[in-house]
Amino acid sequence: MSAAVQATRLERRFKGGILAVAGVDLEVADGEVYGFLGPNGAGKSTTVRMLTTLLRPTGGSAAVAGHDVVSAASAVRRSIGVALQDASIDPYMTGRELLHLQATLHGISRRDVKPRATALLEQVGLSDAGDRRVGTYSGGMRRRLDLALALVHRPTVLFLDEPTTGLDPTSRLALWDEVRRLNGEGTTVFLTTQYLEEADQLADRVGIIDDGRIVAEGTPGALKAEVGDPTLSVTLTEPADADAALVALSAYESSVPTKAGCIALRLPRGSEEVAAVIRILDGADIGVSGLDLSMPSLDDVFVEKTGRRLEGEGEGEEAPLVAEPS
Amino acid sequence: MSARPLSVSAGLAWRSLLLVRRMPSVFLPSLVMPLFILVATAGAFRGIALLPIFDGASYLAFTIPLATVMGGGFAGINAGMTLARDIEGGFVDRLVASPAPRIALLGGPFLAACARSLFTTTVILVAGLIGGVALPGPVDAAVIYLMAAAFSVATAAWAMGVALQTRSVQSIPLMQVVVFLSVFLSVAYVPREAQQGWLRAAADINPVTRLLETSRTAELTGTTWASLWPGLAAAAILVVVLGAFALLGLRTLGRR
Repeated sequence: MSAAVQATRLERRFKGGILAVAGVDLEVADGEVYGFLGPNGAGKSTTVRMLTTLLRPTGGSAAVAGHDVVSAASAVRRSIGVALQDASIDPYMTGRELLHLQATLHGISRRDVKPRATALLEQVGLSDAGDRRVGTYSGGMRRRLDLALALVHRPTVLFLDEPTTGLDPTSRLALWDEVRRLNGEGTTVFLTTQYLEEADQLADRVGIIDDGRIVAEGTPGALKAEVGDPTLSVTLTEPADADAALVALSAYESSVPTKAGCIALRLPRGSEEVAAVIRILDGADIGVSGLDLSMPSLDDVFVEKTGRRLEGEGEGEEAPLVAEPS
Repeated sequence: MSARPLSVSAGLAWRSLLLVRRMPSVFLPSLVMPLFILVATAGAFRGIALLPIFDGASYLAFTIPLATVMGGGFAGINAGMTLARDIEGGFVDRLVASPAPRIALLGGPFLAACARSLFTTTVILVAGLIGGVALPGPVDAAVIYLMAAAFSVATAAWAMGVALQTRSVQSIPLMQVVVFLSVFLSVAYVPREAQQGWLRAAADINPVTRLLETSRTAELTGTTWASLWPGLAAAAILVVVLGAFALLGLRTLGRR
């Protein structure tokens, strides 16, 4: 499979010597959804700006859709669709007018502009709002229009920079569906996000950038498997039984009390061990009122690789149940 | 598929003019100010026209070229203001990430500035007519329109160059003050022959002087080749030099 995006020791140094991207190597295959994770200031937007030809690298090289981002920038621009988080949509224009303008920028013939704009408005569910000024759109509608603008010339590689930031859950899910549909049609998607769940849901592979360097890369499953075991949180019927429960479950080294009446343990063999834990507690005459089995999350991966939690994350993610063994 | 510079420029000019229509708060001052300059200047200084150097000309007619050129200047400044806002807001990224020829990022606003200056010039000429100044003949009118349009392109190039270098709306006062100085250090209020000292020296080397003199001759006595070529030369110099400044700014996109 050929590479839709390839970067080799990509580097960007700003005035004053600030090294925002410090030698990024990455490769995204054709037809892949690549999740690019990192906190604010990690270098992900700078990387995306270089890959989309908006910023010249100061070191290394990168190619998108087979074209070098510096020497063949025009060819790159013809191949990519870009929906940048900070690229504003003119609030005084209507969605349809913006699509017409975008089509003109891409050299689409006047004859084809109208039907293309109509089709895209329909595709992103904005047919009824297409002739309204964008200033009247909700955040979700703007993001959908932004996506439509990025698709106007049928790009082979789509860059989405935090496409669902600030969206309500319904709009977020709708946008995810659209990304999946586009990917299903063969479009390569390079997705930057601060939402770990988003990367988990959409990405075939994930790259984590921190301090301008890729610190982890792989499929979400493989990255999570690297981090550790699933954890089982057990809520006891009688909180006073916590000490007795710990003794009974001493075979599980990572058992530690979390809150009153609740213990958490790592299960090296995963969910198949849940029944054994119940039997042990039952044998010790300790009542159980609740169980919660959780797999390692990308958040855990992020903590493992960077030593901190992803900035801006938190929605829908649980804090780890098990403290690190001392 | 490759976008042609002219069609992209036309598309961007269309957007600029659309915004003019939808943001009257931005457009109206740039129309009202030249009218105000016409009325206020002609009213306040009409006594100057009694000086022999004016040779009996109406001061309102003398002021019409100042107002039309200033109208062009306001249209040009507006192009820079819009670009500065587009850079800060991120809209320029959308344009730059497309395969459109970058020269069109300047060409579109230039076309829009020209169109706006043509409209303002028409309004000024009609206002002059209402004030008793006969409309110039077709050739003279064309010269008046041309000088205003040339100044609109030159100021647009200046203001857009500043916007591209500074990338901030905070540079708007800089765009404005240089344009105002260039006009007021020319022959805005009196002919060169009535000026003395450093003001005269400044007017002599100021290309805007030539634009105003060419336009003024067209308005007052009729265009001759001798009156036309200095204006054309000054317009060419302004457009080339300031256009180069804007192009330099364009080259900084993606490098900082």
